[in-house]
Amino acid sequence: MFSAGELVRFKNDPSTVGTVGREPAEEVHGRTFLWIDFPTGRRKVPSAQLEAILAVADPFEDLKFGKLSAPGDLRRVITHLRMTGRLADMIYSLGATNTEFHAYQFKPVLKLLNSPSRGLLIADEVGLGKTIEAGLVWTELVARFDCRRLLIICPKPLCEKWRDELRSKFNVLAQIKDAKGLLQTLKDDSEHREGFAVIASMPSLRPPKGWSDPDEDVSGPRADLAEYLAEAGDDLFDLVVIDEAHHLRNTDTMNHQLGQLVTDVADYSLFLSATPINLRANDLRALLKLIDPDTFEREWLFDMLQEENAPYVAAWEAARNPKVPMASVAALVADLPEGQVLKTGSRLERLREEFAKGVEDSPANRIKIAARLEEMSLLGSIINRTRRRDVAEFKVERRPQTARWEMTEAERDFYDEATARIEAYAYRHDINERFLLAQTQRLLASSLPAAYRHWGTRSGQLTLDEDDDAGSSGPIPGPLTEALGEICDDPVRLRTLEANDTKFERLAEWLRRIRMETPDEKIIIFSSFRKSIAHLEQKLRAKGFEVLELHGGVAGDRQSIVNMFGDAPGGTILLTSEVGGEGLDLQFCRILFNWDLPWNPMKVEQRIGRIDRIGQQSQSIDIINLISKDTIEEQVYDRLYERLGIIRTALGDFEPILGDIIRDIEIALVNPELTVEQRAIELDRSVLAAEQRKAEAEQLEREAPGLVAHGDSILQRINDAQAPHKRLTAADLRDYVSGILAGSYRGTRIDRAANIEIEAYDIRLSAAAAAEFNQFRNNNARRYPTKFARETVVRSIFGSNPNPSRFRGVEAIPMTHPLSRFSAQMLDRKQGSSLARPVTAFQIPVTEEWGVPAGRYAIAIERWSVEGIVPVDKLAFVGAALGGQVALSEEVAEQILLEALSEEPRLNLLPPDECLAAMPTFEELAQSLKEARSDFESAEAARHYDLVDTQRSLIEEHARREQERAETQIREHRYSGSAKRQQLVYAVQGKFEKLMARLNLKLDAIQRREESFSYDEPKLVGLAIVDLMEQA
Amino acid sequence: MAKDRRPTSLADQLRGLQAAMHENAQAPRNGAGAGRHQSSGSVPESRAPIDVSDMEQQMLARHAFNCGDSEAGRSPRGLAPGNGIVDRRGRAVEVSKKSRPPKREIDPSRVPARPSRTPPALVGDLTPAARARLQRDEASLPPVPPSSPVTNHADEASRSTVSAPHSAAAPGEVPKSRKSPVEEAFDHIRDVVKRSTPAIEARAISVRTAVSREIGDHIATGSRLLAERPERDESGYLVGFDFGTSSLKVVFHQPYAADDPVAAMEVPKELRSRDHPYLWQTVIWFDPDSQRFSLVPSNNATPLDGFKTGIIAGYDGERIRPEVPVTRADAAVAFIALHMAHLTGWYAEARPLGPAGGSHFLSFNFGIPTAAHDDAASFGIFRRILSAARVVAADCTNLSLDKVRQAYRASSGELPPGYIVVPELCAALAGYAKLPTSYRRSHVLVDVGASTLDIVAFNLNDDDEGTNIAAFSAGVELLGAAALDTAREAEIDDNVFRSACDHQFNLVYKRACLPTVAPGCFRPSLRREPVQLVTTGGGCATEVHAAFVDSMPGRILGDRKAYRPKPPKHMTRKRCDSGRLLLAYGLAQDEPDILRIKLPSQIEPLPLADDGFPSMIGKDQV
Repeated sequence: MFSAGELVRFKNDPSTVGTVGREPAEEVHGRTFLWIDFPTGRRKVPSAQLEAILAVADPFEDLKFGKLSAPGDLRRVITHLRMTGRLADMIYSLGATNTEFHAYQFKPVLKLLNSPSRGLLIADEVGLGKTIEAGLVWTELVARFDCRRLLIICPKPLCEKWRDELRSKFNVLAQIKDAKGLLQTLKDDSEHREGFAVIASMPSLRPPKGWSDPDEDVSGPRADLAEYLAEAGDDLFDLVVIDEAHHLRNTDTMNHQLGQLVTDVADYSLFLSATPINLRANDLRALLKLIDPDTFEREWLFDMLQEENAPYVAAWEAARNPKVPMASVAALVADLPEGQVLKTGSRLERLREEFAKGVEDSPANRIKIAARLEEMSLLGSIINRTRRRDVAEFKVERRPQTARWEMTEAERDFYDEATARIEAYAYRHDINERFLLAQTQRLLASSLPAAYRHWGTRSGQLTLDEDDDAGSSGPIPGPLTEALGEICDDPVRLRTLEANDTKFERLAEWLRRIRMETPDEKIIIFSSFRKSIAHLEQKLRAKGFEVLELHGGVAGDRQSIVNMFGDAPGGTILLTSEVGGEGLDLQFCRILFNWDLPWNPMKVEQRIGRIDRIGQQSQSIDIINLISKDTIEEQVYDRLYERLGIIRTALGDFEPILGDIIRDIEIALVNPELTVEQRAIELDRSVLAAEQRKAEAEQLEREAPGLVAHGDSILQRINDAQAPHKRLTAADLRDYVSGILAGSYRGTRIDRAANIEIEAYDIRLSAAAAAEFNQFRNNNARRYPTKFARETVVRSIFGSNPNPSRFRGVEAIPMTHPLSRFSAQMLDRKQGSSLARPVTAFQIPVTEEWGVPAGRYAIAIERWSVEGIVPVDKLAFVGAALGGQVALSEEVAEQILLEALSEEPRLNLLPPDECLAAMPTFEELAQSLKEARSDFESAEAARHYDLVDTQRSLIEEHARREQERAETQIREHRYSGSAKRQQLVYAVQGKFEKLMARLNLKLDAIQRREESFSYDEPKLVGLAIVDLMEQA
Repeated sequence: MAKDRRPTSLADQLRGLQAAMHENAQAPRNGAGAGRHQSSGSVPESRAPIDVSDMEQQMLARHAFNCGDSEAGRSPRGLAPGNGIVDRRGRAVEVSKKSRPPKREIDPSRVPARPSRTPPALVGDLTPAARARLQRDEASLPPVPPSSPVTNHADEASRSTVSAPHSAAAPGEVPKSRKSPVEEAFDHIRDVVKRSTPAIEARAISVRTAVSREIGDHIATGSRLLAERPERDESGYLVGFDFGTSSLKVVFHQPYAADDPVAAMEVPKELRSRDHPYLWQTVIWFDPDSQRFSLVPSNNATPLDGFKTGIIAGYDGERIRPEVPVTRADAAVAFIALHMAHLTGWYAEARPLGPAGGSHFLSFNFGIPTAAHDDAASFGIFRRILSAARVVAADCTNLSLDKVRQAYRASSGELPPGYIVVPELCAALAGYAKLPTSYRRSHVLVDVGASTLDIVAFNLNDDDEGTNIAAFSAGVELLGAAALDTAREAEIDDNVFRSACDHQFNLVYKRACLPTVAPGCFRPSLRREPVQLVTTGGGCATEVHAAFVDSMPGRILGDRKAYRPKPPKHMTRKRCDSGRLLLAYGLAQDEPDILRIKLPSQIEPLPLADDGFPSMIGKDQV
């Protein structure tokens, strides 16, 4: 008879392990029943079916005695290990958010995790979803490290967008705050440690000039915040995200100072910018300096890093290039320097040893070697660069079309007259006013009636019956407007222009056609001018079109206008300016009109970027340009846009190059001294220069991959992690969580929700479960936004929400959710050391993909754990055909086993002699596991010590730098002659000492981490005898 | 008189029990007649404000809508002609006339009447005996006691509940006795179906010699094994024995073994019911010359079927057919015994559970309708049959009528360990209740079988001992898939049939809503959470039953989606509707895993809230 507390299992179901309960045995009709506490609940079972077990089951013993378990048991054990482990090959943010899966969007996640500086610049091209990447990074940090404090700094118009995206896609409830609000939040958090997610605009936080100068009397919330940040003795943020980070590139600006202040007190920092990769540019270094001041503060260090990095890049490229023989790769690796800053010694040594033993030239090996070299490159882990052309998903075809027409006589007269006036003005005035000239000329091209009305009323020359001209009561008109106003004084002429608006007629014609052919389509019309937008709005409404406006002058929340447009019926038109639409996602549209054409192609790219971005469902987008014949716009369009292929293809890295050229073009276009022909020549010359620069940029980009590492191998890792057999399905997760919770807490209910199309559940935790779960959340996941914090019944979906905007109230429960983790912890606690180690057997049809012949295979799984600077768990798979003729690679063994288990095969209850026959193969596998483990451990050790050394040397460098800075400051104060500044010497001294203390703490922590490196005992997870059957 | 009181419909039995329960609660039992039920609805009329009028009105409106009569919904009394009920061709049906029971009420379980249509899916010719039976004139039916409890009970029960709102009238007022159109339709269909023989499948005339021999061998082996080792083996396998009116389903299960080995017994083609590979026709052959029973046909043998319903109804001692000297109990004992022996022999040879399966049985678990389990008489008869069958199974290679009779006569109804009778509700919910995502609290189970529509309102609860069922009300009527066919043959409109189903549901549901039963769980205005509908049975697939089931969630049950439990996929290898094996699977559980159940009669009535005392003490009362 068994005693209470004894560990038992079923004789014929060895993976069902439980503990004998305290209740007395019950005798019923000659049978004895016992209550057993299983991890998934109590159950009364006949004692005759039980056997006592030792705390740790031995799969080899079970195999010997033919004690087989169900394949599902092995699957459950693997699921549990994935739920509780820190598996290196798992990306916890995968499937944990309400976003579509795009592998490249997880690159920043992996890079940041691997970044010694804990910072990353995401420099993807426009439209690839940098916001989403930042959200995924946050999700990963929350899941892995329970991060709680998030600050997003972005341009003001994007605050709402950030808030909406964080809520809908990442279930993060963020608040928009200014300096005062953020300061209060920080103070509150220092007391309550509740965590926060704050979004703030850059100007609202930017410290005022002179805030740190004791001689200046600067006060206010922004100065207070800056002081608070500067004085902070510890990290205040777990992650700081700075969107449109190029605003920080100028080191003399307060924006840059703000960047410095926040990144100094942030554990992780993430910069988002479409800044191209030009490592020669100071702009980039200024940004990198903010992310990793220790490395990028000094130009010489930066140069040295580049120098150190170059041979790594060469080796990396060689490894990836199948034409380069492996021997050459080995030679390049042999010549790699160990680095003064980047400590790569241990890892290099291992790599060299492997080359010495001989590395087979296979694509898989090349990817692995490239990945290892990439990991050793510091620059590779600080910048993430994804280009549209690298992304397979980006296949949207841009279809530009041009509507051209002749102006009417009246229109032509006014156009020519106004152009002449502008030229005359330019002639008389300094050419520095070219921006004004260009804008004026473009307004003319945008809408003749709108320009006429504007200039006439603004200058007071035109008196109209209607009293709607806000412009007339505005500020005093400029001299150019005055000059133009002189020819805009005739209401009859205005009416003629309005009545014969050929441009509008063309537009209306197109719109009618679209409405007829594709009535469901919504349309975006871009104009740079509010006056034109207002003019269009009136005329379109009069023609019966539904219209929404979105520009810089629109009061209220822009995101809500976008939402309104998204929900509006087909045929609705959004009238917007590039300023109004900046950063907003309109990819639910596929038709865009350029009512007027900015001379700067970057602005057009910005416009197109609203719809040509990740998430655009259509195969193609239509861009319709309205160009009047014989105008400056036509010249610009034909010579610049057409020739450089702008609009048809994304600007990409061409964007910044165009910046300088556009300035030249603008000057040429408004230069009154040039004839039309000369202007055309000048234009051509600029375009030619642009073409040359473009070629150079492409060359630069070709060089860049090595420096910044576009991350093919990272993508490979992401795709591996995303492989179906590695993912937990929603059903797996549901069964796992519900089985544990419902079995452990009576009264806990997980009911299928009614009145909803998706498979949602109403989860009600019993009082006991809720109390324990709350405790768990407080200790481990306080920041994770969940309705369980305040509601008793939470409508949930396991996995991710398929349509978050539609099923808004439904909480997604991915494996990172606290409830999943709580369940895993609960199961761990219940199982203790009694985790089942199933030995199973099953049959499954062999597939070509596995590349192995049919037959009987043995597969063993072991779990390895390493404690160190990056704690890692690994599930190792080994396999071989029985008899050992065919050995399976680790990947294939894993793929076969996990794919087969996901097919829910039935147990193939082999007779004991067949089990025994498999024993020798399993023993060989155990031996190869031992060797592989030793290799894994030494690789982890090399990585660990390299990272520790790199971190230590960076901190030491930081300390040296700070010391120099402090000494300089002290010297300056001391010899300033100002008594007030003299007093500051002590403050600087104190601050420096505080910093040193902090750095020392960091060094101590690194020391501890260094010493913490250890290996856990390997754990055999299970054994499987798999019969791969020929397909019928 | 005792015979007259025998319930034949399970719903009737249950209603009788429920009525008795209330009598116990309110008044001493006095053996009063059938008419007592109406008034003794146990709840004083003034205290029984059953809010059912909305359900009734809803059904009327729906019915009227179906009939295309929009006014009907507003004024049921204005229905004319034929109270607005039409047949499939749109003709008015004089329900009130047709629904009158014939002078001699007929229990379909006792004597089959004229077949109303050609049975579908014939797999062989009818035996001459079957043909003769099917063609028998109604006049030749044995007389049925005029006060048969079948109709009386049903009528009374339905009146007692349906008319409850009316009976809430002031004391002294004469209760209105007029039936609602729905009641009329309900009665009409019941009568039509009762008077018809449910479509009987063609019985095999012969089977292949090999099959016959195999069956014989299995019986011989099984019989020997049961004789040699009559007691169970604790490491043995479980047998789920679902003895249905039209078919037998057998499932084997090895408890506490890895991967939950479970397998259904396959049936030889000739003996399959509705071509289902795991449904064995409930038929046995009797050879009058040799006086022996057999599971396969032979030249002189007469097929005997339809015996199960009559047994539960208390007609165990009556002949199945006048010309054959075999009673229902005889046939049942022989049928069960032969099958016990056969399945034991088949198992020994086929080893359907593979190497994990035990070599001997642990338990034979037999299903019994929930309501029958709650009725001492029915339960007693059933146990006697099983007890006799168990004895006979160990010696049934040449099973004679004499042997069967002796065993039955000697049977005390005692069943040794290893032979368990399980309420079907527990079996139907076995898999469902184990799911961590299964609902707790209020449920309605709708089981649409080939012949019957079985509805139970119950709660599923957890306590220290595990999950248990509290069944509050139940009802069984001949409104299954075959009954629908019969009704259609009688040119009854589908809408009318549907309203009969609705009516049955109403009867059961309203019973659960009674203030003394479980109003807080079922009554829409009082309950906090919706009621989970669970559907089982192959009959759910008919258009009418599907519509009936689909309409339940919503205002009456709340917004939970219906759940249809299924047995595990790996139980069957052949493509089939495995839902038909749900009960057999649920029966094949070991004792501790069988859900505990409180039957309606075991549930104490709730005290009525209005007990004459003030609900609060005011300051003037202090």
